[in-house]
Amino acid sequence: MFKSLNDLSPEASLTYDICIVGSGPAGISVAKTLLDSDLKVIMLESGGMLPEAEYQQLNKGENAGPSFLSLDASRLRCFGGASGLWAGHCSPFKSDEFDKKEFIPFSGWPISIDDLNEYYKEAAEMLGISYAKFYNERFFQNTLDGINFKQFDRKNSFLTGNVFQISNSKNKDFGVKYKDELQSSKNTDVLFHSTVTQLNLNTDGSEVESVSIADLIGNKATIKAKKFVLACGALENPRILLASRRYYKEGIGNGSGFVGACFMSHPGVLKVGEIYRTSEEQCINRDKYQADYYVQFEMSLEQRLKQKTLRHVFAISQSNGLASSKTYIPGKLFTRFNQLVDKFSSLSSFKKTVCRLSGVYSSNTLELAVALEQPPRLSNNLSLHTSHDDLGVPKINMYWDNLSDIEKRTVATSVETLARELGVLNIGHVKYKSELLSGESYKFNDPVNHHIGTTRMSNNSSSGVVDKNCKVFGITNLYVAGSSVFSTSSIVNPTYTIIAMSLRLGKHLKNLTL
Amino acid sequence: MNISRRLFVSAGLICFLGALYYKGGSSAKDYPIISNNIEIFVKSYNLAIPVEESADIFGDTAILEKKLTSLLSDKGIVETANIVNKIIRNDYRIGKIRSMNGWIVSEVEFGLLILRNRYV
Repeated sequence: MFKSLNDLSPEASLTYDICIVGSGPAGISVAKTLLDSDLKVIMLESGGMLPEAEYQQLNKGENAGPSFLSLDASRLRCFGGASGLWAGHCSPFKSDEFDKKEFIPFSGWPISIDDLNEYYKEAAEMLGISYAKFYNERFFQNTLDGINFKQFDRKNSFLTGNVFQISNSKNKDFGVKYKDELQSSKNTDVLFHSTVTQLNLNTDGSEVESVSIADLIGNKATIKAKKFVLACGALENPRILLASRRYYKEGIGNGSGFVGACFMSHPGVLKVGEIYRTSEEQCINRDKYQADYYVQFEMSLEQRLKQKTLRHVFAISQSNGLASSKTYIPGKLFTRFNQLVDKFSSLSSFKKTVCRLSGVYSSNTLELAVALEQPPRLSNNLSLHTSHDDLGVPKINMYWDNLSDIEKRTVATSVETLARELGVLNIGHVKYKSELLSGESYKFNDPVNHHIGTTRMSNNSSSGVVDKNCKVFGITNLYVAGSSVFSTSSIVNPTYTIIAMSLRLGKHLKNLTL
Repeated sequence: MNISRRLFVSAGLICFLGALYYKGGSSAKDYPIISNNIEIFVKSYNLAIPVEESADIFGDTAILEKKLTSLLSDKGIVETANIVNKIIRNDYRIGKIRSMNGWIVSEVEFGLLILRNRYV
């Protein structure tokens, strides 16, 4: 049943088995697992069925760090949450990403890929993509052919490709896809305009008794439940925990100071290099590019471990205009020809046009950018600001630091490794962009708005906020869903893993109550 | 065989004939045969880095020159090019690389670029 807080009697108090805070991909995935069970479930949505400007204002916060992070650009307070903005790019984490790596502080998860695989399969079905295709060699090879870099498939290559599939608009927008199913559910209620303002603990501080909710027209209510799941994103989850400080002055689950800490995103470092292809192939054939999948390249696991770098992907794109022929026609013998080509730009334009008309892009120069995972760092953190939103909840104060040494080293090393692979294959050269050499490339704004890691999963409370079952340390009935529990950030888009982990949490909650 | 190789052979042939023609008007003292072999090799070797991008690099190439001289006299120009290609690929494989005005090149390529500055 769908209701709004305004539909309830004043100061109402409702009781459920499970209360899910947030109706984005994480919240809906948990709720979906519990659909048609004997459990009485309520899902609280801060906004309405569709985004409303007044409720979007509740996302506003402050930036204190040297790097700017938009706190409201990629978030929607409405049914379906940020799935309404999501581009639908899916790829699972790699198995090594769950391992501890000595050169990455705080790395390592208390779970492994084996704990997620069955949920990745289930999530793939929800998203209308194929789990098997992520690991299908022929599918992978086809995508390599599609970008004419099939040479990268060399045995012992320094590079590897990672398949991404794109969930289409019919499947990726959970607000649309699961509206009818949830609305007609007999055991699940969805309550709109119900922003959680406080988690209320019991007398010994070991259990959440209820949550206080409010809307922007003065309505308030209390929701009691046996179990609570925070599923409102990696900015809002820690905000609610930190703001609930009636019992613990540092906030709930924050005994070790990890709530809000280790914030991670996926910085995109542009203008890092140029690839000059020296092979015969002068055009990139896009014929085999499909709308629903693609491959991005990165350093192989062996190289990544050997060179102690973070995971990353190369974004290889067409350079503007036709490459100077000087870059790939060798020797002085062709100088005059090169000069002629340079002088008569119409010739370049003509060649370019012919290539485009024939379905290929002409250029032997490719632009190179690198997007990378961020290591968990205490200095990247979210705290509470002294100012408050319209519901009286302290705003977010975000400190996002400059790129660290390991991040910068990863960018430089990845470019160098790509150059080495091209050199081994004798198909091109790489030149660092001057912007990278001067450090200008490292001044970035977050281009992807992935928010990760602010209530991190760990083996113990001294280095995290939730355990391997996403339960908050020290609180018996409080769980967290979403990318805030990720111990490390990977480089792939987080939503697919968010859904898989939320399905796993849903099943765990269901099993607990059976 | 790829285009680089074809270019190499044709460019090598042209340079070789050119060098023979040029040598005809000069004394053997001015153009010792060993230097000429390296010069011909460097001129014809397919270095994709534009000339102007490596014009300002200098360095000690004595070891490389010695090796090239030996290879050229033993194997001839085409086989030497093949061997140099293999060495360059191995440089990249084992990480013997360096940065030259932003270009990431192998150690041997770097040496060849210096030699190219000298001869081209």
